[in-house]
Amino acid sequence: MSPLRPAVLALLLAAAPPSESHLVAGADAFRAEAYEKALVEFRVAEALGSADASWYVAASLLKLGRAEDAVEAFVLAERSNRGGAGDALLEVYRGQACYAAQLLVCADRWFGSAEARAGPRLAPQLKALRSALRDALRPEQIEPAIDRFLDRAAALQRTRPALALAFAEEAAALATRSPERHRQDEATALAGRLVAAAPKGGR
Amino acid sequence: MTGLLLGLLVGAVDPCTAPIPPGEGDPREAQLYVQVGDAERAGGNVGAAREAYRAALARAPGSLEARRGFDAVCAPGADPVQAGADALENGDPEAALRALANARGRGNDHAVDLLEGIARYQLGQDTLAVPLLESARVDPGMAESASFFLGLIALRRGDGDRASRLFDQAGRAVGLEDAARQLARMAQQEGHLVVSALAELVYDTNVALRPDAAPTTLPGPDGSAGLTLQGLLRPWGTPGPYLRVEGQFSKQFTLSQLDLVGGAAALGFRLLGASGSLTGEYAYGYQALDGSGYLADQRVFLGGSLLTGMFLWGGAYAAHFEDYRPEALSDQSGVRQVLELDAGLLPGGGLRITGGYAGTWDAARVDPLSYLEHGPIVELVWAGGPWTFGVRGALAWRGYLAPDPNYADTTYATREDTRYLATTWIDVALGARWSVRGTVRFLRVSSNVPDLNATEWVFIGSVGWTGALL
Repeated sequence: MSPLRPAVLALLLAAAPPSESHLVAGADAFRAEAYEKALVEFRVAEALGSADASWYVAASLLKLGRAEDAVEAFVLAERSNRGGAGDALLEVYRGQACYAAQLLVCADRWFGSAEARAGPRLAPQLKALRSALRDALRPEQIEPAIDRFLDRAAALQRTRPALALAFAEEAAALATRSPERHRQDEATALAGRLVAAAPKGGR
Repeated sequence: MTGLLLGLLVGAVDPCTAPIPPGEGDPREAQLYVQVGDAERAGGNVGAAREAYRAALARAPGSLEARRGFDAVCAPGADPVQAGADALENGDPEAALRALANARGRGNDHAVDLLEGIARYQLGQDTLAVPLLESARVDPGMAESASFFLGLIALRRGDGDRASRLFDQAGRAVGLEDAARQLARMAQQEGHLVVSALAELVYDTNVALRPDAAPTTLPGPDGSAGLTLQGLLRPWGTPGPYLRVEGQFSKQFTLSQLDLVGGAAALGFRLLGASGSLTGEYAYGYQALDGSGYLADQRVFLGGSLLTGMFLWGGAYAAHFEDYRPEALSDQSGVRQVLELDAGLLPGGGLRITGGYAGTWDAARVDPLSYLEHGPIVELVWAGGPWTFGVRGALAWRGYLAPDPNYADTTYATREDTRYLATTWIDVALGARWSVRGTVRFLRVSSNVPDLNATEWVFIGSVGWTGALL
């Protein structure tokens, strides 16, 4: 490295927002698969006002196997209406988080959104994944799943409204596929209340 | 083995013990890291909290809040996953299950699945262990370790083919190659129908155990070529019943009167638990020398082993109801009972050190040929990669019940022997089915009847093939 390089780098970092170095450190840790370290750095970047950090917090949580935390973090990142929305890779991560949390309609939605933007290598995989998801959603499982998700949403609506919203939306989406429209009004109303009550950003 | 897997799982760097580099980053940001640490800790996410407090301490080494938080999340038992891993390493799967009971939903659920799967496997709860290990196998970082234990379960169920495939997958993990390779071999022996063939060349310096002082006209050294074929049928795997059939052929190079043809069939049942096994068997064997009937042997066998921590306890008992067919040998017929008790130490590194005591009570038709024999045994076996090396030594004191009329004119008419036995072998596996072995055996008989002192060396080279057909 040239002797000038550290000085130039220091100048660039000095000019960048304070969250930038944490975002870079988080990205480095994420690439090195040190997801706990990445999560901490992205959390600090988030606290320092980074526009993108919330999305990467969610991705790190997914990598740590904290599926429901990741779903919640994606909802919060989306609400903050900043940064990475529309990024195909983040949408794949979001779909994976939904899938890991057994929110299959949610997973299909985000894999579908990513598929529309994905390149020639990723798109066929996403298509196959969505096909498998549709097969996994058997009719006889829909009503018990709606009941389960509505129970979770009701239990979480005060303490973790963003996660409760994800469950309520899943229940509402499943209800449209139920021949009896099982608890559809209830699910839609709960999701609507949670959207209306949602603060912008924060947890 | 579990320790090795846990080492792979937990990773090389422990944030609680790794040195914290001081003066890294902006000290003003330490408080932010503490806040992140507190939030993660409150959510039960100990791993992330550790990283956060470490980062805070790197920026502000004197921060009491950071130190307090760091010490709390690094305290023993603070991390249920680590506590579960520690309990497993200490050989306490039930404590591991208790530690892991509330570990899910805090990150790294696949690690929890793996650890719980291992604990269930160790407790013999295979049905509960399989879905957990399958779940862990989805995670690329744990796929090899999970495959390893799924392979062990398949092996326990007698599904040698599946076990073999799983061990192949497990063998990709650094540190698991040796164990996986050995288990892949074992898997080939654990199918529902397993056949094996062993061809050997033998050189024996004293085929008939001729006394040292005997005239050289008596049979002395000779070589032979032998073939042993065996089939083992376990319709329901292990545990379960089994049927074993064996054929044995041996052709001497010069002493054709010792050419051997033999066969045996055994019916048994094997019980297998998480840390122990028990086998009961009845067998009938028949041997002919040089085309004439020599020995018919009915055998009842009971043997088992129990693993507790680093120790493997073993016991085996056999009663042979022997019927020597030649009239000249008929007095040797009778019941021969053998009992061996041993304890093995498994210090790791593929080493097993066994010490034990063995006794034989041979009640022949006549007292001068009946004897009681007993003495210590010691064995050391090391297995690493495709190699297995073993050495076994035994000392046996044999006292006959009555004076032998053949030696009535000697001072010590009642024969008393001391037998020294030593065996060493080296075995190399050539893939999952083939193996080559070299064995050297030594026997020295030291008798109070000096004319019966004898020495024998046996050198054996063998090639074996074992494969599961079903």
